[in-house]
Amino acid sequence: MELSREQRILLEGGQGPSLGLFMRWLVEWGEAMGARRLVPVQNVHLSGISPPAIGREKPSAQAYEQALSEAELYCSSPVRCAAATCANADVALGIPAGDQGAEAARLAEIRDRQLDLARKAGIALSWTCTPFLVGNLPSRGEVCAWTESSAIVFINSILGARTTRHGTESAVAAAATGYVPEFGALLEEGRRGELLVDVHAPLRTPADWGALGYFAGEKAGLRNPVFRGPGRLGLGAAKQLSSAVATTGGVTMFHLVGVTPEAQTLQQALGGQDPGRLELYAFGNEELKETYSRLRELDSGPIDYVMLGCPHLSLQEVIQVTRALAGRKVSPGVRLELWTPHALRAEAQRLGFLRELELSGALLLADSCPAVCSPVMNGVRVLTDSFKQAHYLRAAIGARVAVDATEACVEAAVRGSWQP
Amino acid sequence: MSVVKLRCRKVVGGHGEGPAVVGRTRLSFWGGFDAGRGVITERGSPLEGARVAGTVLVFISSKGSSEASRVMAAAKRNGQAPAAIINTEVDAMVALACVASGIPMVTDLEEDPFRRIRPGSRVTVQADEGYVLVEDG
Repeated sequence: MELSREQRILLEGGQGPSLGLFMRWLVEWGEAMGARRLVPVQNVHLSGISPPAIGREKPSAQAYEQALSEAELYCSSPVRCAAATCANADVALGIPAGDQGAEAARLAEIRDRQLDLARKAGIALSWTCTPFLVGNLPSRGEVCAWTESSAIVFINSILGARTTRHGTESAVAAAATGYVPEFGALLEEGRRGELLVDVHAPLRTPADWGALGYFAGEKAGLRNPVFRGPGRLGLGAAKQLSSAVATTGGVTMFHLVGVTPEAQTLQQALGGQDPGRLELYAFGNEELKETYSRLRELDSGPIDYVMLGCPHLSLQEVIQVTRALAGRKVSPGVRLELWTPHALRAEAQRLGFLRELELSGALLLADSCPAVCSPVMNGVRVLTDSFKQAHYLRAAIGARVAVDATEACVEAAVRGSWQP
Repeated sequence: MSVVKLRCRKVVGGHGEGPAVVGRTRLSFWGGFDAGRGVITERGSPLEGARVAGTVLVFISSKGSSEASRVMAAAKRNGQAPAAIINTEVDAMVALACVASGIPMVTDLEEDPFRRIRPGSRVTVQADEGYVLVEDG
């Protein structure tokens, strides 16, 4: 890889050992991915700075040490990028999981220390998977270094920003050095559509768009799918499509013809390739139904747990769920959780929606998600409107899962049972 | 016993050897792998239940979560990481995990690794030299 004089000085440790390590990560990773150079980056969404997850098991002394030493390393150099850098959901303090006592106090102490370190480094620890809802909204063509598979797809495909799939080390390094290796979706040729999905099924709810993503991610693998035919979509649907396609696949971006900024036409999405030569899949009513049944492990009947907010809910979605509850109580046997960014939880509180939700017996939680932090509950019956969450909760907590539309999830929470 | 030498392309340098764990599938290390026990946990995965510590792990590519590198770093600390990785497609997430945790990674073997490498075969990955040795016996 060709490096500038300044980049070489960083790599050789001329600006300190941690910047040297960060630069080594970027250069070796870039070389592995075929990058020829490093380019400036101003917008980073990083991960990896969080207290150890409580709930699943009691964190060991070693886990506490690890969390702190990582935060110290990742915050060791002030960030050079101008735009807000946010860290991803990964902390479990929002979970009122019984009496945590001294454990909760220790975790709060670590969290405060991490917030302090991050603030000094210039990292805004927003702890959300949807930073684009709360202050970090990239613009078209903006070079970014984002973690969080769903958000990566969202900003590439819906906003037309440019990021490759980043992990903790590369994003931290990008924030501190102000550089990213240029490959994949940062380049025109890495953004072209590579397979076609003709969508015939009517997509009526955000969960239906999630089904499309869950179907297409498996077909796409690491490639960029092009969706033809499903029409336009709202924010909730865009989040479901983005998160599901990056669950079954390692997708970096999709093209939704007419919506994706650089795919106003099919021709644009394909960058001049002949559509007749691309792999073609059909997503009709049968595929829609079959995708729901692939993740369905529950029969109609009692449920234990309803999770909404993967990816984190917008304020509008929080309000929609509150309205759907309409003052009714959640069934005593059911736990209904809504997950949202911390800032939107505060907004919901100020507007009175938090109080309404609490009166119904629902929980509005922030900073994490059950797949990250819930305790193992083998056999627990979970209903959610998110294909991503359902997919991961199976292994994460031993859940038996099903996916249904948001309103159907709310009804099930009130009734205590699910009628698909 | 026969030893076959296959040319390949280095993704991340280094040398690693161990028994092969082989699955023609994509893996999500966050949410699909227990870094404490070194076991693949994704329900329905062809590799569900496989132990990967000290093995040469052969699969198509990563998928899903962008936390692969953190999970792999945890596996490495716990002594549960694979000795080397062979992928047929290169996702930035496994490449980053291998860079950060010092695990050799190769791709583009001159023969299809899913046909050529049997589970349990002894495999040596020489990433910098660009070859893989497969012992059958």
